[in-house]
Amino acid sequence: MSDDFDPDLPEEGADDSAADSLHAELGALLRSVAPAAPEVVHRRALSRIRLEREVLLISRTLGGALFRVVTALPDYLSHRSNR
Amino acid sequence: MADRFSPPLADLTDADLVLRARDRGDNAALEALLRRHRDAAYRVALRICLNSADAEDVAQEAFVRVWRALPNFRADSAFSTWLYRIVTNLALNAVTRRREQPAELAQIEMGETPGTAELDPALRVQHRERLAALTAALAELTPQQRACWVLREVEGLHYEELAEVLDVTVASVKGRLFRARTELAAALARYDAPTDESAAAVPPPGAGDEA
Repeated sequence: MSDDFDPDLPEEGADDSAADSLHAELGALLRSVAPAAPEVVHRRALSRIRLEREVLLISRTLGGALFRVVTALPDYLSHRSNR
Repeated sequence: MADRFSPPLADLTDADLVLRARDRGDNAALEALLRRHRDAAYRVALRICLNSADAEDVAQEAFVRVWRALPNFRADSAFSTWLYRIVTNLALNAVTRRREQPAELAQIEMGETPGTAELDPALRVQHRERLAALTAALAELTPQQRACWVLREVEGLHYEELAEVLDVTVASVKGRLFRARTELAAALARYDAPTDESAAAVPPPGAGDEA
């Protein structure tokens, strides 16, 4: 079934008091139970971010070094062969 | 080194923290940003997944994805909307993966409602039962309807924000929300209706007086 099935659905803010109050009450009920995220969630996420950051840094450093070696190689080889 | 004249991170807006984290690579700003939104992210995930283990995984993964995608975040929308979008997508994926092996409902592992400790015990029981019925009714919605309902009725997002988070049209949002509301009300009515067993379990007035 298409999501866009009914053009007559109420606009946001339109008066549908009975349904609105029921769902407002249910929403408030869920909001009243507001569990905090366990600290471990935050800690693990930060650990993963730090690890990925380190890996990124290392790979960039290694990549840069490799690039310098590769670009310098032709000069080095021609220099050697000319000696 | 921290600028001695800059305000504490807690005083900065989301947009300022995003700028610092994205453009200056300020790790403390990123941590502050994630810390500020971690409970909301976890709660949205929990209410869509209805399972705390999945919700923890979703929240954790969402934070890592925020960090990865931050360089591309153009701030066309609020950071919170962007985060809701990431969390919702991950939560819907988690629900799909979980569908073959449904975990017990979160029950709603939401703990004791703050402030209910002082309530009359009968009211506390009533509150808990209402919450259990709502959780069970939410579980009957499709994950997309549940996400839509949670983001609208619990998180208070507007239709346009919902459309952005769910990556659908506003008309689509209205359709999903309408069906979610209708089905939730019907499911809740079923859970609220006293069964024959529960009616029988209620002792008639005066019963037990003889003991």
